[in-house]
Amino acid sequence: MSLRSFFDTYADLLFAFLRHRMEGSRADVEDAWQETLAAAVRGVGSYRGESSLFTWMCGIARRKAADAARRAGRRSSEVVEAAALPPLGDEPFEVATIERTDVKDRVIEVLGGLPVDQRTALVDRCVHRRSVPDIARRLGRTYKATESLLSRAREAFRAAWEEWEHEED
Amino acid sequence: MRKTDSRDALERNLDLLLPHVLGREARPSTAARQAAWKRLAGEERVGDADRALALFAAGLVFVVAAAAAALALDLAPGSLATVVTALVVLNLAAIPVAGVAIVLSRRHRYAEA
Repeated sequence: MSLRSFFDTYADLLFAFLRHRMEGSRADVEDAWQETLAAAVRGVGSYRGESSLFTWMCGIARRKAADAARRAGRRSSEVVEAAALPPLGDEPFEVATIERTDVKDRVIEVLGGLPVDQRTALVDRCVHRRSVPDIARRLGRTYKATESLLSRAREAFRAAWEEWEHEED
Repeated sequence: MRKTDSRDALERNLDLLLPHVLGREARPSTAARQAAWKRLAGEERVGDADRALALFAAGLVFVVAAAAAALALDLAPGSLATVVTALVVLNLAAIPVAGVAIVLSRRHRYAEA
């Protein structure tokens, strides 16, 4: 993977990760984001593959966010949520659940661990509200193949989410 | 819960969660992206320069050690100069080779284990 595709694959997700856990201004987030990316590039040789590459980078981002909070004289926004997360396949989540920092963290970590084509399709569908034919065109796939890709992406997301729930037990 | 209901609930929750987490506010601006990319590319160039320098320094140490060994063994002055010159030339020649190796290794550096 070249530096460019490394950047294109992970940079925006890391920004979202920091944006949700830092209380500072957008400029503070951008600084911490750049520091995280630079530290990841410098330290990638020490990555041992014990977790996904993106989870490893989230660890760096947490430290950078804590450093920024310390510099600004704020308490670190590390939040420990007591309540377990509801499964994705039950009732619709309540607003209070969606607002939880650990939920947002986990959504981003799970997305970062998905294969790039699955993640792209899922983000296109759920965030950008693109139609299946539109996503198929963008990805150079047939309609059927795109539907199948989206279905696999949702199931992969659910599997990773539940895996985490079990880790928490 | 039936399998279809569970699939529908999953779809609904992802439609709720993802836009909330990855909405416009959580995306970097184009200018911020460009600045971050510029810094990252700079980091990599500095990293490569550091590695090339380390290789060169290691080579120099090797040359000095070889020269010291040659002196200790009391080789003929003519042949010592030849040996040292050859080693220095070899060390310099290794720089572009190391450069190519570093550039090639970049392709794999960010790959998942």
